[in-house]
Amino acid sequence: MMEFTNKTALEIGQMIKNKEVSSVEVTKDMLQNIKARDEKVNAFVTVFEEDALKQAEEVQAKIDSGELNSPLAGVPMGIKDNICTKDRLTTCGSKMLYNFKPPYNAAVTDKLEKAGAVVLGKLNMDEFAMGGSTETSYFGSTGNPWDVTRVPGGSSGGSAAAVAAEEVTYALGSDTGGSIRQPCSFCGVSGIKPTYGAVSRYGLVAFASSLDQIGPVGRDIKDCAEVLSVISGHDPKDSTSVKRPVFDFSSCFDGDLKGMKIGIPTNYFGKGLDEDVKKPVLEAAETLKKLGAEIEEFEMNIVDYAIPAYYVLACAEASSNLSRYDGIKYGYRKRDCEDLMEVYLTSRSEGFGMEVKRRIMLGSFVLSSGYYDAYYNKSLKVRGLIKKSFDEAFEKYDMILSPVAPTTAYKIGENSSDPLKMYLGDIYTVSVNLAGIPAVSVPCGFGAEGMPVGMQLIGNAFEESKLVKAAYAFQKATDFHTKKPEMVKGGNN
Amino acid sequence: MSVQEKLIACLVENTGIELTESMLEDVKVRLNMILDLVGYSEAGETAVAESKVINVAETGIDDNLIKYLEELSRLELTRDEEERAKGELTKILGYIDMLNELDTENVEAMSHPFPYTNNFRDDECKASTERELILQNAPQQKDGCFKVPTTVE
Amino acid sequence: MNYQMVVGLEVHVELSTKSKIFCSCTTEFGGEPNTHVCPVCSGMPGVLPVLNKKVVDFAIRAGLATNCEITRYNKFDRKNYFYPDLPKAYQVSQLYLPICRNGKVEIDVNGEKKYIGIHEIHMEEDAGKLVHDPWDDCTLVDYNRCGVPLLEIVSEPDFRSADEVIAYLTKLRETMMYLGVSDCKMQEGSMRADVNISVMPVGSNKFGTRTEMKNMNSFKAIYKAINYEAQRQIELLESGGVVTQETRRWDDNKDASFAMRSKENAQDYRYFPEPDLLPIEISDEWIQNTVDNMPELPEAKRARYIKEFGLSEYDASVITAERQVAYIFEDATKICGKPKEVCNYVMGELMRLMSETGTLAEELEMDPAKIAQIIELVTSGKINRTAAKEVFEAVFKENVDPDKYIEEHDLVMVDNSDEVEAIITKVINDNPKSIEDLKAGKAKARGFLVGQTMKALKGKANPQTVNKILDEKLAEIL
Repeated sequence: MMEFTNKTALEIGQMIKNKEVSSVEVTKDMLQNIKARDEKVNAFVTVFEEDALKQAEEVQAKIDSGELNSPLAGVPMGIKDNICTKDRLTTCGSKMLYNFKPPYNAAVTDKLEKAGAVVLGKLNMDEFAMGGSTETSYFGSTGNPWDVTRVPGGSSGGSAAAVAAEEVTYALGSDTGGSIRQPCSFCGVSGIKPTYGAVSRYGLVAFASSLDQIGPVGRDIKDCAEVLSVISGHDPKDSTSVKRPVFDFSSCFDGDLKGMKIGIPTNYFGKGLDEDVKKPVLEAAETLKKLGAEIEEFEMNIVDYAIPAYYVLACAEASSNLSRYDGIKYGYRKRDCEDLMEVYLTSRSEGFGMEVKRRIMLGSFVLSSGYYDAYYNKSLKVRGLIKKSFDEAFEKYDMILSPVAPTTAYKIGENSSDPLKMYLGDIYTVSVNLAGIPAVSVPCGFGAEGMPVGMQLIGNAFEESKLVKAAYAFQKATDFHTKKPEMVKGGNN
Repeated sequence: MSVQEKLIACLVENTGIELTESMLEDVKVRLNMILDLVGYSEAGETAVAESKVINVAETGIDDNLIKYLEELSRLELTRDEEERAKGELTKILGYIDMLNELDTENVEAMSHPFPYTNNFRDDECKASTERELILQNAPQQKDGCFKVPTTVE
Repeated sequence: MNYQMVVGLEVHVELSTKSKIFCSCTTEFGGEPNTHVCPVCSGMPGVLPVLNKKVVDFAIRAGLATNCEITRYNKFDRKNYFYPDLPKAYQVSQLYLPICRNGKVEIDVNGEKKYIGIHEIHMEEDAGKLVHDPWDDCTLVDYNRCGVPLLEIVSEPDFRSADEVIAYLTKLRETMMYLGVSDCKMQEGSMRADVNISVMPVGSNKFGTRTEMKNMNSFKAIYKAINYEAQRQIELLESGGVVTQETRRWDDNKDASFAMRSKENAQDYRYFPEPDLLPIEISDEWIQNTVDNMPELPEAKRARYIKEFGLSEYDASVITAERQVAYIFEDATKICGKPKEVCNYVMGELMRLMSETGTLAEELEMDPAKIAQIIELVTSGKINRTAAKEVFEAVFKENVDPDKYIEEHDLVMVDNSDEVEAIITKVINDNPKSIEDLKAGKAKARGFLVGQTMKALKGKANPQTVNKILDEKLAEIL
């Protein structure tokens, strides 16, 4: 059996193209990794073993016939379990959808499968993407491959953990308030939260519609950029997807940052930020400087208000988006209900976990009669202020450098008892979603306990290519992204 | 020492009973239930201390409001969960109240990240989905319809 | 004390688009349950709405026709509530910025004209259908109607009588049908109204507490319900009671309204801007384009028929009452250039046949060109009026070709004087009594001879020819 450790998705794609290995062989190898490691990691909710092998055979045939020549053709990957896969389970990490098989694909699933992706299965996540640790999943928490007693971050914890454990070559995640970036930081992998509207949300089970965005998680930024160029572009089925051509990152990989201006918001580095995280991120700033970038500190106080505004808006939208789970059309329903109200109450109360219920109730509250202006509308205005402040920053800088999360991965169970403390962990990520702008998370070091640390580069709307260029230059000059957790280094034995 | 540990120490001191390993576990579980019931959360206390909390008395997450939110959300919490939710929501809303520090008088509400408008579809019909597929996930169905307990009064 | 009723209406009209408001499923009425459904209109997880442009076009048209201001920047909001007929558990509607505002509609009740204010018109989606299954004591849910586009036309509380309400509804229905915006089929629920009623002492300007009756879809029921409800409230107040704000259900069989369970009254819809749809921006060009392509409305049509075609006010209003009838009239007139003739056939034959056969205006398949053809046949003397009626009926019922039909049924008038003369000679010879009567000065007898001649000619003789020859013959005898 071959091992694809140290190989990126693009490299594996090239090997398949060169006939050094077949898609089926790589797929089998990955399935082997899943078998060996996922008992500990629990990155998968569902593994499509048979489907994946069949898909690999079909894709290989198309590659052989010349019908498929995308750089990612035949490369096995995983999909976060809130992205619809036709006739295959899509649970959102919830009891509510434990048996749900959508009769349609998400737009991104279609695009990837058309490009020859082999879907290994569905990746664990916080229930309905609500959480930052993957602990709220109905299917059990996911372990961080660097230390399985620690969380992988969330909500796309399964995606980041599966990439770090090399159970998949790359994965799709979704990011509503940091749900791609923070797990990438915790698991030492790379990820992109694209500009709102760059990637179709059709088939992404909605958490907060005005904030949600699908993005790639990969071993390095180049893989992520390739995946993003496949899944981006206008989709007539998503009104909020923007009419622009798909991304082309081909000119981003020269490793030169001359003339690039990077701003560092000082208030992102104040109280509350672990020294463990602060040090590597500031060192990364030095590295970027050496690569030719100009670094400058600046103030951006408004982002302190991002968390309260974010939770108001996200919960409000969620309370509405999650109302459709009523036990009537699909998903969990308690047997033998006497009346309609009982169907609603028991299906929802038993189908949803506590964090989801909490957010639904908070969302119902801020929208309810008498509170709308004080909470919801106020937050929309604050959102406007945050957007404005980013606009001003991007007049001066090409991008902003910041931490992704205030800490490295913490122990499973350590924070789960206090929702507010958990919410505060999103402090550096949510403003990006409120402003609708793109950001990447790439590994930039390790904390004292050996857990990975990521840095965040935030760009202006649709300027993903600048971020990719900077992240690529950084990864070319450093080796944090090539480091492996013990369980991967040791192989499967 | 955590509140739980303090309480157990106090218990042992006052009763003079030596707790076995299993008794200790049992007491811990029961104590946690009581702490939950009174809405006490240790980690929460510290986090709140760090953040700017404004008294949320005005917004008043009381029993009535919790019940109302349950009704609006079609959720039914246990008494225990209600107490927790009351404490947590009060804390979260207290934190959210910091938004009032900002003057948003002349700021426009931003419900979309970008000022795009007018995304339309032409008025054209396409084939609907096969009914089997529409109903395939339904917990109960009959005669090509979703089935629910009667809604007639 | 004397009381005055105060009524406001929320009228829902289903739009005649081909596809639904947010997906490409058909809006066709009927169909097996859940066969006009897709993941979008059945509210499956992860799906997204895309707005049908025609819905906006229709809303602008309706707004312009009711003298509304068009909200140049308008958007959709979600109205959140749980019910099995609403698969997303929210209805996409417009609360904060509806597409049309501040309009007015002129009504005429017994010659008295009055304006009814239009508070707003907004776009929204229809809900599904619930059917009670008595065998199983359960409810079956059908989403075929889910996502059919609706306009909700909200009036000001400007009505002071049931007659005003009916006049307004008639006008609104006529207008929407002329605009091509809705077929307003009451029996299929494509036009229905929520009626708000309160009463106050005459001379007061402080409205009383109102009650609401939802989803009424017959003018007759609305008329009865309003009068019943106003009377109920008056009696309640007179007997010292108070009116409770509530939703009531009108029972057409019992001719009475009943309070609904109070649970269904209290609602907190938690409206907020629909994040899945972009705001709508309506440009000057869009509005101008709509104005330029606006169909002529009944009022304008009536005025033009009177002025241009010389129709009476009565005839003009009868013809314009239904859009399809007016179009048939106009098209036929355009072809034959004889408005009065066409008017006679439409008012006479067409209306008679419609009522005899129970045909609704929207079901009419009468080809205006054939009406023009029949009129030509009459005026050119090829057939007489009796035959024309027969042809008209055949066209109406079987869409026959008039030329072929008159040939096949031997209806072409006999214009051959020799043949007519021979018949007349025979009639005179066969009826010596009539000749004697004529000689005795009894002029009536001439009519008898004409009748006999026509009978012999099976009604298809040209009356002018018959008269002329008969006069010549009689002159010889008398």
